[in-house]
Amino acid sequence: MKAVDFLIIGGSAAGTTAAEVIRGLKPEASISIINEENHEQYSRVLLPHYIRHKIGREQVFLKKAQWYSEKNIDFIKGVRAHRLEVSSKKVSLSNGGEIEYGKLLLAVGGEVMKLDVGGSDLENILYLRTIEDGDRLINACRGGKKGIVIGGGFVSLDFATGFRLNGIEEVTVLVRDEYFWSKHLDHESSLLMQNILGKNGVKVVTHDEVDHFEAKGGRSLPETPQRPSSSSVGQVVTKAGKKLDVDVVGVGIGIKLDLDWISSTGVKINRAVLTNEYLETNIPDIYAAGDCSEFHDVFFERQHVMGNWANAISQGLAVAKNMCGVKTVYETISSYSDTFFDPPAGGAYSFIGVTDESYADKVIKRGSVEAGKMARIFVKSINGTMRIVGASIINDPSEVSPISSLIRSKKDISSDIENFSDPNFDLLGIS
Amino acid sequence: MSNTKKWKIVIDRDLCIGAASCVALAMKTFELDSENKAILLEGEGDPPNMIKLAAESCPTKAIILVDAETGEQEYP
Repeated sequence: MKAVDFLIIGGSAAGTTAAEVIRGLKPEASISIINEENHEQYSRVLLPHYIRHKIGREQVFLKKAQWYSEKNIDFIKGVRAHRLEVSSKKVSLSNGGEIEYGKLLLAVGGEVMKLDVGGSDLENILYLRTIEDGDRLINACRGGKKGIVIGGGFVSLDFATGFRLNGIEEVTVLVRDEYFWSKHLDHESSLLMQNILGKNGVKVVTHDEVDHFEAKGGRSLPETPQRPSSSSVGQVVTKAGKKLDVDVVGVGIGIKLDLDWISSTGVKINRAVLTNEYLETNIPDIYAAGDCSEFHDVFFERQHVMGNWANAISQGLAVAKNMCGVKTVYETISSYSDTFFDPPAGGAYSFIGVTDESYADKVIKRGSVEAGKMARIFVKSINGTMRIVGASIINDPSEVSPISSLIRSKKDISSDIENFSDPNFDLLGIS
Repeated sequence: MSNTKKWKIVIDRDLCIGAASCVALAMKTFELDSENKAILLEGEGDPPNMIKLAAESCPTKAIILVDAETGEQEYP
C-alpha cells in the first residue's frame, strides 16, 4: 500500500495552498493530493468571467501539470476518496487504491444540490460549479432567447449575467422567497440589487418556484417517460401554475458537502467538519480547511463555516503550518466581493465577516435604494466591547476597506454607533 | 508598481475583483483602495515567499510578479 506523510483530499483553493506551504516547510516530505475533478487547480471565481467571455478557457486554470511535478507533489486527479479508517490511518479511493497517511487534510469543498422535479434531466437545465458546467452554459445559450434562473443564491447572479452576455434576451430569476437573495440581504438592499438587474434586462419573480419542466414541443412530463433523451427543456411550469417558455434554465439552489464517507469514522461533524482554532479535528492527525471546515473562529468566538475563496486560501496556509508542527491560530476576517454587469449600469457587492442577523445585537443601515448604494453594518457586544462583526455592502466599494479595518481592530465603536446610519459620516475617520 | 527585495509587483486593476486573498496573506504588502481594488503599500512589505503565495492565491490572476533584477515575469 502506498504511504505518504501528508495526504490532502481536495485540490482546490485550500488543498493546493496547503500543499505548497507544506512543501516549503518540509522539502523532503511526501505529499499527495486527491482531486475529484479531472483537472489541475483552476479558479472557480473565474468561472463567471469565463462564461461572460471576459477571459478564455485556459486562463481559468491556475496550475499546470508541471507545477505539481516541480513541487514534487503527487497529484491524483479524477479520483474520489470514499472511505476513511482512522485506526489504521488509511483512505480508500474510487479507483480501488488505498493510501496510508501520516497527516490528513480534508479540503473537499462542496457540490451543487440538484433539483429533483419532473423533467429535471432534460437538456439545457444547467448547474454552475465546474469548468464543464461553464462549457455547457456557453453551448446551451447558442441561439437561445429566453432564460430562467431558479434559486436565490449567489450563483443565480452568475447565471443571470452569464445568460445575458451569451445573447439570451429575456432572463427571469425565479425565487420562492419574499425577495432576491433573502438569505444574504435585507429587503432594501435586495431591491437595490433588483433595480440593477432590471436595468440589465433581468427580471426577478418572487414567491414562486418550479413545479416541473416540460420538453420543447409541448409534451408534458413526467407522463412521458419514454421521451427521447435528447429532448431539451421548453417550459418551466411553476407551482403558481404559470407556464414560462424557456431555452435555457440555470439552477442555483445551494451547495452541499458530501461528508457521508467520513460520517461514521468518529470525526465530529456538525454543519461541516468541526475543528478548533488550529483547524484540527477531534481525531489526531486529521485536519479540515476551506468550505468543509466548521472552525472555531477566535475573532468572533464561535464555530463558523465560511465558503469563500479568501477563507479557503488563508485556512490552507494556517492548516499547513499546523500540520508541520508550527502552531498557528487561524485568525482572518475573510470577505467576498464581486461585480456584475459592466459600469455604469452594473453593480458591485461585498460581504465581510459575519453577516448573520441572529448573531448580531444590532444591524445598522447606511445609504438607501434611492441613493443607489447601501450598506448594513452588523454590531455585537463581545466581552463587553461593542464591535463591528460584519457588513454587507451593495454598490459602495469605498466602504469595504474602512469597515474591514474596524472589524479587524476590534475597536469599541459604542461612541460612534449613532452616527453610522448617516451616510455622510466618514468611517475612514474612525478606522 | 513598487520595489521589494525580490519582486516588482504589478496589479492589473481590470482583473482585480477585491476578493482580498492577497490582503489576507500579505497584509504588509497589499490593501484595498476606495474602489475595492488591491493596491500596494509602501514600506518593508512581506517576505518574498508570502508575496509569491499571495500572488498565486489571487483568484483572477491580477497580481503580476516581475523579477526585480532580471526584469523577467515570474508569475503568472
